[in-house]
Parts: sequence; C-alpha cells; structure tokens
Amino acid sequence: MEKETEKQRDYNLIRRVQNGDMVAFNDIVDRYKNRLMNTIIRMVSSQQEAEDIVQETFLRVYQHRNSFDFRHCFSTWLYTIALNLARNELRKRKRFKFFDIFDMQGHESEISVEMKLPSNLSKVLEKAIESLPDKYKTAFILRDIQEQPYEEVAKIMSIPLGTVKSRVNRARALLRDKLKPRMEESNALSKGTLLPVSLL
Amino acid sequence: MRCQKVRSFLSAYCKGELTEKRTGAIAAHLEGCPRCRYEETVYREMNKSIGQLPNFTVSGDFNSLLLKRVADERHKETRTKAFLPKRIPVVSVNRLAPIFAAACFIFAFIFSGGIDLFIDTPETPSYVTTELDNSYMTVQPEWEFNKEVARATRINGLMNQLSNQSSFGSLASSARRNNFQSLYRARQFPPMIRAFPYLQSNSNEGVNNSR
Repeated sequence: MEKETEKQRDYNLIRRVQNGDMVAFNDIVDRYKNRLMNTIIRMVSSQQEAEDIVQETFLRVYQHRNSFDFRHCFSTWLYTIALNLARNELRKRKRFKFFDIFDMQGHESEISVEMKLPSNLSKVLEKAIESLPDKYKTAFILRDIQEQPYEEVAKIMSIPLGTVKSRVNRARALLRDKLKPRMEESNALSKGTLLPVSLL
Repeated sequence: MRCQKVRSFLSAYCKGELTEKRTGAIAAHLEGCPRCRYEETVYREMNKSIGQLPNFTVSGDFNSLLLKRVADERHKETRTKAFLPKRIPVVSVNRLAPIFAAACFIFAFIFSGGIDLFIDTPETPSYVTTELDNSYMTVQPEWEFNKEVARATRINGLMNQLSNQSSFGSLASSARRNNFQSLYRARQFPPMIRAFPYLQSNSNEGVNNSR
C-alpha cells in the first residue's frame, strides 16, 4: 500500500516536471539523491565519481523527462540510468587503468592494517562488498542495501527474476565466507550460540 | 531436509523470503542441527551488520550545482526551440531504405508495362488508324534526282547546242554553271553529282567548246 502511494507520488512529480515545474524536479532530486548515492558509491568506490554520476543521472532524467513511460515504475527508470552510467564509468576505468607505484604501496599498507583489525565489522563488510564481482554486487546492493523488491531488481538489471534470486543468494554466500573468519575472531558469535567450542 | 539443502536456503530464511512450508521445514531442521544453527547465526549477524552500514550523503552544494546544470539545459532548449520546429524530423538510413525500395519497385512496375494490367485502355474507334503515317520518313531520292538529272542533261544539251553557235558561247557556259549550281543547291548532295561523270564531261566539253 505504502509502495503504491510512493509510486503514485513519483508519477505526479514527473508529470509536473514534464509540464515545466522545477519545484517538482527539486522534490524528485531530494527524494532519490541519497538512495542513488548509497548505491553508486558502493559500485564505483569513490565519493566524487559517485556524486558526478548521480548528478548526471538527474540531468538525464530532466533531458528525457518526456520519454518516461508511465507503465513502468519511476524508481526503476532512475536506477537503470544510474547503473548504466556507473557501468560505463567502470568500463572506462578498466580501459584506462594507471598504476602509481607510490600509491599502491601506500594503499597496500593501509589495507593490511585494516584487515588485521577485526573489531570494526562494518568496514570489513564494506571491503567485502567492494570485492564482490560486479554482477553479484549490483544485485546484492539493490536487494539487500536498497531493499528493492526482486521484481524491480530484475527490471533494473534487465535479467530474469530467477537469475536475480540466484545472484543475490550467491553474493550473500560469498560475503558469509568472507565475514565468518572475522566474526569468529571477534568472538561475536560465541555468546549467542549453543555451538561447542571445538566447532568454533 | 539435509544440511546442504538447508544451508542453500538459509540466507533467504533469515530474510523471511521463503514460503511458509519451506520456512517450517527449515525451522524444524535447525532445532536439531547445531552446525546449521551456527550458520544461521552467521547470516543473522551479517544482516545486522548490513543494517548498520553507514549511509552516504551527497555534498551540500549538490542541489545548487545540479540546478545550475539543469538551468543551462533549459536555456539550450529554449534557444533551440526559437530556431527549430518543435519536432525536428529525423532522417535516418533505416527510415529511408523502405521508401527508396518502394520507389524503385513502383518505377520498375510502371516502366515494365505492368501497370497496363490494371488500367483499362478504351477500344480504338474504327475510323482511327493505329498505324503511324511514316511516309515522310521514306527517302525516295531516285526518281526526283533522276528527274533533276534529266532536266540538267536536257539543259546541258541545249547549252551545248547554243555553245556551238559562236555568238551564244559565253551565255551558254554561264547558264550551264548556274544550272549545276542550282542542282547542287537543290539536292545538297554533291557526291551523287560526281557519280555521274558524263554530266561533268559534257559540261567540260561545253566549256572547252566555248573557249
């Protein structure tokens, strides 16, 4: 029910934007900018690039406002544009990959120090999400972090529903494999489980 | 249910995404399996950590920068609208190809005579002949030329007779020359004249005679 009202509100706003209402456009930006930022930053791993992509996404929405199809969900359209832009950015990055020996040395030491500290599980989780393959990462972020329904994720990624479910499941399993040793190290599980010590 | 199958559903079980029947079966298995219960706890901890992930926000001047870019875009649109029609016709090869193909087909159809199959031609009235009067194209130089030659010969003969008389010699030669010039002008066919050397010989004879 709440989802339906959200959808209706989006439709009203985009209709007003189509009629040239800039206040409505500002409302759309306010509604979605942080959600998009949370998705894109986890894909490109850079605050500045993520912000540029989000800005470009809204600009594209404005440019193509009249081509929006009201049969589909507005958020699906928005996320599709943003993810396509992020994918383009990642592709560009792969093509023009530069290595700075000094930078690499610095980062290596930083990462190694961080991974030795099991206390901050959130940071480890962020790193683990970052290290996921792109196709699993996108599905996981949209489903588990953005809490989009499976159907919407399938539409955004233009893949079948079953494929989305299997990718999300695979991503969770990969994360579990990466986090389990950290959790055991921090001994966070031992309190709430009836597991014998030998198993830990 | 076996442990391996239960573990494949555990992440979805922890998120509450399974059907009631499958949820019940997994819950029953977990009660009696400490290893699977441990796996479930790992997933629950992971989900808790995901919920605690920091929320990223855009920078403070995000809206103003974006609205500035949108304003530029609006300005561009307004300028474009001032000079161009609302909907600019897009001409692409994909659109032109079928039109071109149709035009070729129509041309070929018309010029091959296929259109006659569809157009009823009225019957020709009996008084109208369908044959072309091409008699004007028929060249019949022989008899006319012969007539001219006969005329020229006759005149030439007369001139010869005249030239035999000394008082009319110069008059006869000039008349013979005029006669041949008129013949030449009339036919516009000098090589044919050369084909009749006796005319020339006669005229020469006349000239010689006149001298």
